[in-house]
Amino acid sequence: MKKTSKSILMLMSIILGVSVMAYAAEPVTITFMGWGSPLERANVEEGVKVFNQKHPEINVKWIHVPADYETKLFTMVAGGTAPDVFWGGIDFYREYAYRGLLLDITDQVKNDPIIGKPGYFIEPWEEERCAIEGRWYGIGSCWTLIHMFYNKEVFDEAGAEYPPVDPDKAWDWSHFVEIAQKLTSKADSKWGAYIPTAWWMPYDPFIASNGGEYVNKEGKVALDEPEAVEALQQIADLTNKVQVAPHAVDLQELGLGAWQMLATGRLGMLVDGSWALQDISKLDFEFGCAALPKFKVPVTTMQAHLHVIHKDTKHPKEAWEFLRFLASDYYQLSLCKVGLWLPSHSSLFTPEGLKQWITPEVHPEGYAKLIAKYMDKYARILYMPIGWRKASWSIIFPGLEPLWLGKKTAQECVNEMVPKANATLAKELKRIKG
Amino acid sequence: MEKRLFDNRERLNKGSLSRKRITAGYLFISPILLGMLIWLVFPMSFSLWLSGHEWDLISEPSFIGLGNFKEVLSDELFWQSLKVTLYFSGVSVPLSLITAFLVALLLNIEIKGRSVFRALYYLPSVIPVVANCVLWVWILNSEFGLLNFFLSKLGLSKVLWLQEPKWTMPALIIMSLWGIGPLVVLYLAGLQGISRQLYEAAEIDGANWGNKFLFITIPMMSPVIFFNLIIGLINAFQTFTQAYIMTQGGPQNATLFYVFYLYQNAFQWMRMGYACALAWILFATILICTLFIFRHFERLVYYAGT
Repeated sequence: MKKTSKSILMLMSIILGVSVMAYAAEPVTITFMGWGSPLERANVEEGVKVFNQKHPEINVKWIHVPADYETKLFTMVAGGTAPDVFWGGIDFYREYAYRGLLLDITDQVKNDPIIGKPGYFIEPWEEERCAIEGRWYGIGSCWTLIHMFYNKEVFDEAGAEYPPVDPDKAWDWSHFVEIAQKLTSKADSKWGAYIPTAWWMPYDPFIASNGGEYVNKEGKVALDEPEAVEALQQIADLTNKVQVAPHAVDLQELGLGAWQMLATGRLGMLVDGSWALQDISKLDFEFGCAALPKFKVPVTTMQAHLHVIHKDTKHPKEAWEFLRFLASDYYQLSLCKVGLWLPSHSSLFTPEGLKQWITPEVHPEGYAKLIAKYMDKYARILYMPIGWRKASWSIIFPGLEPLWLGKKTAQECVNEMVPKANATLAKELKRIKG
Repeated sequence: MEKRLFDNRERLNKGSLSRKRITAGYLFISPILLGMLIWLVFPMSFSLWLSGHEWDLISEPSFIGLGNFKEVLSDELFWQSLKVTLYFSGVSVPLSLITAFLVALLLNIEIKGRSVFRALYYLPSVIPVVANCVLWVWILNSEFGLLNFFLSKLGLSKVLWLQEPKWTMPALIIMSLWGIGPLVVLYLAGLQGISRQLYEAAEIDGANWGNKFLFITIPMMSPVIFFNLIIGLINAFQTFTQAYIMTQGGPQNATLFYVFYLYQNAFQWMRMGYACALAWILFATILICTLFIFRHFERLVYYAGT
């Protein structure tokens, strides 16, 4: 009897001891949330695995939210279970920061032995997208920008010269339209060129190229300036007047995405984001990438999401350690290799750096040069003021729809839409800043 | 009777025991009471409280009194969403009521394979709403869609159902007819409840088909029609999925349904307080509409029992 109770006591103390030890060695768990395609998700999961192996004291748990990201994020924040580290859409970044959702990481960034080194990021872009009144609340892990994709076969058939890779030799708009006309054959339902108009990014470079601004420095929508109006009208004319571009509706209706149209030779040139390279390079056809046509100056537009830390995280140190990792060369390389991302670190644009991500099966000839020159001389970032998302989706995009459909002129559309958009922006700003 | 008398006496004389019984009673109904408190009364009071606040879900709610309700008045999108919702409800509810009634009449005729037809008409209601919406995106496709295919057979030109603002709402209304299954079932139950004697008596008096329909079927069915009208209206006011899955409120805000706009405010634009105010305005609107209908149309309803 006595013996049994003694051994029970022993056993209990062992269990207790083991569990105390286990508790002591229990790594700090931080959550990491984001959206992304299956490919991005796989990359994130791989990265998280590598990080967890390197840092046994930290356990990162990835939460994948394929759709309705903000809904989920806001609900979690309201419920007090916000993720420690998460992806922040660039269109919400300022809003998050002003509302006090994000941890100020300026000091960590500036004092970091690796990230803090001058010239680690490609500047001035990283500073421009991350810093809000001089303070950093997030770091990017990649870039994407708008350029042209073209189907070589379509050009060969029409006997037209390929568009230039070098932004310095970018085609003038009129030349671009001429070539597009050459490639267009209505009888075979073949189109010369296509610039998607469902959202701001694909047409933003052209507005800037003509000397206009989508949003000006005061954070106001400036699409009613004559330069912007002219560019918008020219883009719409591709479809409605010159008729070298399909209607967005037509594409939808054909059940073909623009990428498939390009690959099947029904489209000669496509203006789209660099991320499309990942899918386009998998399609079976001869393609090239080129600089965008220009009105006055060559321009492209860049953007990407940021990685941010929740202000009230219980583990700011561990969260920062993880954020650092997300800002490492290693983390962006694998998605740069497949064509989805472009690097945001200068080291990856040195001759050795380029070798690490330029992949011959994915990146066509001259691609590195195209990107490097754009980032060096001709890139821009759209300034997205507070209330941007609301103004865009409820006022600006619907307001431009009649233009793309050819029902109204650009001037008519902006006259009606811009004052409303700016009133909304002003109202949202006032709500936050008082 | 004996038992009840005893119970009454017990209640009068032995207060303690009855209190025990009362407690037991409350315990028995506690699951539903608690459920109502936690899932209905609390969220509703919270949302009423929030409707007087500006709340972005991140910082503390700040009190702004009637600010949200005042803002509604000058919010163009609010009026647009109200207009869209009233348009949809105003057309689709009566149309569904009539169509469902006609279908029920047809399905009530004694023909071969009647149960098969009944199942067929109910079938769409078994499909989840989201699947329905995806299916209809294809039916409404202007190039390959079934609807335009039939139109072209009739020699009509193609319609951009989901791209042109003026056609989107008609498209969604046509689509709403797809979901009349439950209405049909209710009508059928009602039709079968009408006593044959009434028809026989009318026939003896020389009533023809039209008389019987007008003076027997319609009055006898009026409670069911009334019920379907109220429920249909309440549901139509809360339309959300179509806008969410098919149109995202577009094109040019032509399908910006009220509840979709509410959702956008709450979860996309960080305006939970405003969204709560919108919810209470919707609640009031539905209440007023329902009361109005009860006031003015209930007297047209014939309740056989009373």
